[in-house]
Amino acid sequence: MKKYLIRTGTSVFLLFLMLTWNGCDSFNSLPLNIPFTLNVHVTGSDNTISNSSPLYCLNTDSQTYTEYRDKINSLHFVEAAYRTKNVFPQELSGNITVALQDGDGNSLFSYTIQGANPADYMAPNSPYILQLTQQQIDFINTHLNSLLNSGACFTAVITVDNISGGNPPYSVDGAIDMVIEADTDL
Amino acid sequence: MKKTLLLLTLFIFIAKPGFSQIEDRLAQLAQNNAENYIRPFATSLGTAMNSNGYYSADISTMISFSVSFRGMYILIPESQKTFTPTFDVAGYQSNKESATIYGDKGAAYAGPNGYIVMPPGINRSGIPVGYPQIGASFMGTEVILRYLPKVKIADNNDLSIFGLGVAHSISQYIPLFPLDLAVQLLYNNIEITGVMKLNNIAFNAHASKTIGLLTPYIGLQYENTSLDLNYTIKGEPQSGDPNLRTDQNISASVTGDNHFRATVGASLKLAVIVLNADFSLGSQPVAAGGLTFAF
Repeated sequence: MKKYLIRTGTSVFLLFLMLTWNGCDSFNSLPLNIPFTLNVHVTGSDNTISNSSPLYCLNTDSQTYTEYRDKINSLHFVEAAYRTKNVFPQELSGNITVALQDGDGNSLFSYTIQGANPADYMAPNSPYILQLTQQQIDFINTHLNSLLNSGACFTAVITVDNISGGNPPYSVDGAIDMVIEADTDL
Repeated sequence: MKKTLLLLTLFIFIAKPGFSQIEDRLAQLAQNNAENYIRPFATSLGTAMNSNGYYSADISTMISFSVSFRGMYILIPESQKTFTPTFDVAGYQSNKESATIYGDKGAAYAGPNGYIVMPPGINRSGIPVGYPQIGASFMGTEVILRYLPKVKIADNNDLSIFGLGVAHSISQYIPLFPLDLAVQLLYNNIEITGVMKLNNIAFNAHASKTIGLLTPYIGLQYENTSLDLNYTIKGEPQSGDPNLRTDQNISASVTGDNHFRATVGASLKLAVIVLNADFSLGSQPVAAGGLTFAF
């Protein structure tokens, strides 16, 4: 009887522990935040200047994505920001349009900061957080997940129009910083 | 022998996924933020190892032995699921909270070098913990031992646990005192070689009153937990924090938030079997139970 009670009690106790830990899905997945930056150098002497970034592909340019690529279940957009790395002349102002395209040049979003001075988004000031619509976010997510394991590619385009302030030639070194979340299996 | 193997398997089962999960998350953190991110985990481990040290203040004056399995469920307060990171890099604002090890989403912070991202937590509101314990009593003094020999849980990483507790009856010196009264000192150590070393110390005073088969008990405890941690940052060249762009080894030291707790519980003695359950209110509340075979 004593042996039976000991065996039963021990089994119940171990079963409780194993069940409570086994049911822990959070131990099997790791949602990773992956940051990346698209740099754009824009120069010109006209009232509107524009340029594109080099193609950025997750599978070749993101170390974190490459490391976890085979374990990623889904990707989704978290946040994006525009910042100015350098601007000439400093007093330059205009409408800054930040656009993101997929690897084939299809638009994912376009966002305009009206009447801005690019110097306002240069260190030590904070970047400008892009408040994207749900539709724009859905476009990005669809693109990310259509190339889940082969790696989505992006190009950023920065356009400054209606320029005033200072004299040409104008120059803006801008960057679009993005964070995506990768839901990975461990 | 079979039981020992089963227990070892259980410990490995618990330790292995938890170990790699924590490593993967810490790999994304600079030292200052790693300490705040992992602090609730240090508190949990300390809370667990400093729990369930007694189920009665009536300590035998005759020679007796016990084997027990201690289990508990630690409740994680909402306040310990998030923290506000700090940055050594100019231009980054600590303007929002991010997950601790027990939280949900890791936050992203925009700044002049791009985003600094924080890791997610495991999104848990409670943590179950269990371990075996043996004890021996004589002349109103009880010694308890918690021990797990080195077990390999990863390449170059062994898990080991050692805990020792000494309790002494105070009421035996006070004739006709209506309650049993005892004090106890607990020391516990958990080590994963090369990764972490956890040291716990606790001192408590507890009282109980046996009424038939039932023994209600209460206790007050001071405790302290320290966690020394080694981990490797997995460099992300696109991080806004230059310290997170390349692989590097980090050492951190964390003190748990567990310092005081009050416990109330009861035990039921059925022949050689004692069942106990209690609840402790401290930094992380814990519901604990035990199954003891006392001879």
